[in-house]
Amino acid sequence: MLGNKRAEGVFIVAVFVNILAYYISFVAVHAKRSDIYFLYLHVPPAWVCYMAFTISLVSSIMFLVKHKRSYDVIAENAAIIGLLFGAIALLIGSIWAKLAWGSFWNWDPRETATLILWLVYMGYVVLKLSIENAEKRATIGAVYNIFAFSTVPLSYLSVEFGFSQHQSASEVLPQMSEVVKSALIFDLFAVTLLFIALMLLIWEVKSLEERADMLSIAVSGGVRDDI
Amino acid sequence: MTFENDLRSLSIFIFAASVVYWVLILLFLLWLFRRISSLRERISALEAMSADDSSERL
Repeated sequence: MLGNKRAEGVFIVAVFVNILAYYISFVAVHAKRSDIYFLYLHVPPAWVCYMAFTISLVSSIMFLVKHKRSYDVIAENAAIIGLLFGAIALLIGSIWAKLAWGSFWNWDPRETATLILWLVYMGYVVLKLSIENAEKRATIGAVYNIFAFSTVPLSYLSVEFGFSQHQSASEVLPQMSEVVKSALIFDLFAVTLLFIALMLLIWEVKSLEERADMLSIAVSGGVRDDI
Repeated sequence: MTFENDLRSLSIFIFAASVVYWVLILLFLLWLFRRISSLRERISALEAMSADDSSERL
């Protein structure tokens, strides 16, 4: 299918584990409170979003320290996946908000801070697309990424502001039964596996892009100015 | 609102949220697979051109 056996294997396992996690979470809450099912749709993408941006930050710091191109590629790939899961968390969160608070968007501190986080990381991707010189792109991107990460704790801690309607993890966890908690932990594991599979697939895309660029230079006999 | 109506609207909301979740992930996967296949085609074409160039030089 892909040619890359490792990415292919992880992707297939991730799909099966996610289907299983979906079923387990459905069984865990179906007989009791169906609205808790939103927990399984909203928390895992939010978890991947924060994790991806943290990996992106670490990779950017590593790039600035070691100047290895692969760290820059990991930072960019993780940020792209973080944006995807951030968008999912925001959209599902707004559907849940309509049900729980009566409106899709309430300018709650958590909603607003997460929207700011998403826009700031969208800025990171746009910035990387707009600079042609590879060395400059990687360095400016890494510095921007370090500043962009400040929005992650802002979003995570925004529920601690007194006027937020959003519950914090410390409030929700004690209310959960063992079954609901176990299903949620399995969901987090499943979505982390999906994140790894997506990282491997994007890595494959970047490697192929690089190979195609090298070949086109070799064929045209030109010189690249962006290396 | 009756309990049945409540449950029905809840089911619609859960269904909408599930659709959002999986459609966005599937669209992203579709983009990735299409990009991989188009890049592979481009690489094969470039490799063929590169091989032609080398045989002409010889």
